[in-house]
Amino acid sequence: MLSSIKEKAQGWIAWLIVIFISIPFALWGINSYFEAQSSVVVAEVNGAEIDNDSFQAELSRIRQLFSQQNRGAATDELDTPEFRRSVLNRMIDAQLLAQAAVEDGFRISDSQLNEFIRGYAGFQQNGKFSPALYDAFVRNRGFRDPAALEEEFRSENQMQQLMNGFTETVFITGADQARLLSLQAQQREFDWIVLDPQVFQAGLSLSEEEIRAWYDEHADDYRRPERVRVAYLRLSAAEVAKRADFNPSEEELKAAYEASKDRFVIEQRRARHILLAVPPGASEERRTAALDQARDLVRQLREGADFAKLAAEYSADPGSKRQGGDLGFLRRGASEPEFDAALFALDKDAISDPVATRFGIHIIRLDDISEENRSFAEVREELEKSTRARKAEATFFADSQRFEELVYDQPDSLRAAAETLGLKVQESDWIGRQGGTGIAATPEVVEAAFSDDVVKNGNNSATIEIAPDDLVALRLIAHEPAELRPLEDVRDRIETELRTRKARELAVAEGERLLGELRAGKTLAELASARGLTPKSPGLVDRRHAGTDFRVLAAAFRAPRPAADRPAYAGVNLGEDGYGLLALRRVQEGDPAAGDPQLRKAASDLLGRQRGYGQFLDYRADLRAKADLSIHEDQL
Amino acid sequence: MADYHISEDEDLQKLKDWWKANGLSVVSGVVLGIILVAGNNWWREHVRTQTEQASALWEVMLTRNADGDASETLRAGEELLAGYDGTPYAAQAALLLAKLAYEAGQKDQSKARLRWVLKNADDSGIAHAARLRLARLLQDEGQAEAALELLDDVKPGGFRSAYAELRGDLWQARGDAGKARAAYREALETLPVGSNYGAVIQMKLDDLGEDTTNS
Repeated sequence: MLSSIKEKAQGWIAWLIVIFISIPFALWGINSYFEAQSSVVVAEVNGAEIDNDSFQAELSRIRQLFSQQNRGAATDELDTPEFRRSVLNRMIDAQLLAQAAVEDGFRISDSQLNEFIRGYAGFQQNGKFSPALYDAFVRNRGFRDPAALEEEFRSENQMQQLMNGFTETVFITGADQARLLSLQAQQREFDWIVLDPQVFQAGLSLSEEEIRAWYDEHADDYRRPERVRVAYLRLSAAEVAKRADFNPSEEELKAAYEASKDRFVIEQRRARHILLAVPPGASEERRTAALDQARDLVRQLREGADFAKLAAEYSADPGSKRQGGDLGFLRRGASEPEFDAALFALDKDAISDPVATRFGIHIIRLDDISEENRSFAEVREELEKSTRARKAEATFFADSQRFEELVYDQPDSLRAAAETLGLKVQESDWIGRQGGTGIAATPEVVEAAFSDDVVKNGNNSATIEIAPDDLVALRLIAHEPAELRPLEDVRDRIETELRTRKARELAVAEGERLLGELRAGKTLAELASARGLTPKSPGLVDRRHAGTDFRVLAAAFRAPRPAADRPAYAGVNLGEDGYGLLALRRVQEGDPAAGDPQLRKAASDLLGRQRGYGQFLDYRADLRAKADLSIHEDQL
Repeated sequence: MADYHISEDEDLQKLKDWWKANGLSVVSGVVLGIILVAGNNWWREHVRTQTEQASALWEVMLTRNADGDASETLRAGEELLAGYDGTPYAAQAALLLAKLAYEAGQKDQSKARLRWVLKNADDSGIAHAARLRLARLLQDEGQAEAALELLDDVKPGGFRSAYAELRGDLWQARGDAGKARAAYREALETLPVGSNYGAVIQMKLDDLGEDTTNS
């Protein structure tokens, strides 16, 4: 009695507890209890974290993409803070858009997702969805499981829908289109001259004070950088091999020949074949039919049918079909690669499976194998070469070990190593930190030459391998720290620099003065002829006109419209090229209704695309401005 | 042993008393909880189904529109607007229908669609797009005043450059080069990152001629 009450009590109390515990699971799902806390966080976007793992994964994905697009170019230049920042910015933008799509309530259904994945180009093989490619993609992109990738795709497609809301719905009004077309087709007629700074160089005087002031202010620009000269030893396998004492004697060569006689054998195989011709570009059916026929012939032959008879009947090779299919003895590599491989894999008297080459399908029979030794005289030269190479290699190997030891054991001189190994101590030119030619072309050499151990302690460097089997060790001859050069050494350069600058300033000042005169009533022709210049007149041209300095052209299209009786004048600073002056005589507004209708439509479509995408970018900028965003710069 | 029985009986009695007093509220609490959870799930499921149907209709609109089939785009769009106006797809559909209406020469219909978006869009970005397009349509009809009025008191947010360009166009049309120039400059300065639209604005600014009043 009592125990049954107790059991009941336990029963419903237990149930109560179970119900209370299960409520949170029903509401938030069981996942939240098991999700591991992630690694270092690089940015937080409205509370969502971008962790370092996914940031690094994205960085390496983009590096890889870059490397593929640039044929394996090094990606060092992508390791800048700017690059990392731009990648992070893109991730943040994507996160913002994904959040906005969810918050607005965009939703890609399972069936839309399914359709998208089945149609995704990356998962197609022979025009069909390939589960294997799909699985590989999941693994390569580092997704936990296909479900994670599917959620990623869902999110991307939702963002796409959001973006399409801007880009696919935009339209350009007639007024808008007319304005753009009119501007693009506008033409202007103007004359122009350039005041060349060269002209102002003549008669330019420089005072001693100016030169000295420039020197004082810019002495750093004329500083001679730090540099070193080094003595070095170089041991390379190529040099070692040139020594005469590796020439093998006749006896050595004979012995080597006897020892490796079987290397100098030529194998030839006597083959017969039946060719079923399939011309290149033949249909799949034709190929299959030929293959079926070939299989049938193989079966007959293996059951003992007469090869010569079948060859005469079926072979499409006119040269051999009358000879029972016989091709004679063939060396390795003498026939088509597929044929060759099959022939040299056959046992004597065996019939091959059908072999496809560019001529069609072959059935091959191996009749005979001949092996012929090449004579000593024939291979003597080859032997001599290889024997020499082997000796040189052994010597180089032994020498390189000695080299390393001696350079290291006697750090205050290269002489011991030089004398022991019969090398010559060479001297380099001056080497700067940016490197140079010869051994200085190798960055490791430059690094060693400027190392404390070499420069300060005066020791030999360690042995450096500047190329495979090519060793260098070096020590200091002289070191010059960076130093200011005296004024007299750099006076010429300063004078040239100052003259150029002054002439440019004079040209600009003169140009601006002349522009004032033009606006006060003088004409461009007058001013030009006073300076022995003739204005250029490209005529009525549009914005894309190529015959005029592009800066002058832009200035002409930026100039105010001329009055009826007087041109409008404009000037433009051309930097090193001086100063341009132009007289705008006429503006011909573009006719939006003129020209090729298709081109007009294309221009309007382009404007639409730019506008639509522009509004999407505005939207993204808007999200960003409103977002609660923190970037952990120290984690980048 | 006896103590144990007594205390167990006492406990049991206490529990029974407690249950008499509170049992009803506990049970109704649990039932209410279950109803809330189930109701919430049902509602979310309902919204999800609605949204997914709207999403499919939106994709139909995009495909038909890309094929140049205006009447089918319109049919899908009207179905979407009629049955799913609580989803974010409704505003986008109305924008697309406004485009179709304009291209078919129905400017009033186009304006009505854009006004509907302005009134109903939950997303301020889509509302900005609608307002910009409506103002351009007004300009197209020669109502620069009305267009400028529409832009008054708008918080442009990320759309600052687009609004400034539009104001520049409107001032230019009214012959006020000074205001147009200032507006185009603002448009250039506030162009969003990644935009390639600057050349167009620059061309419009250049065409006004250099400002010679200050220099």
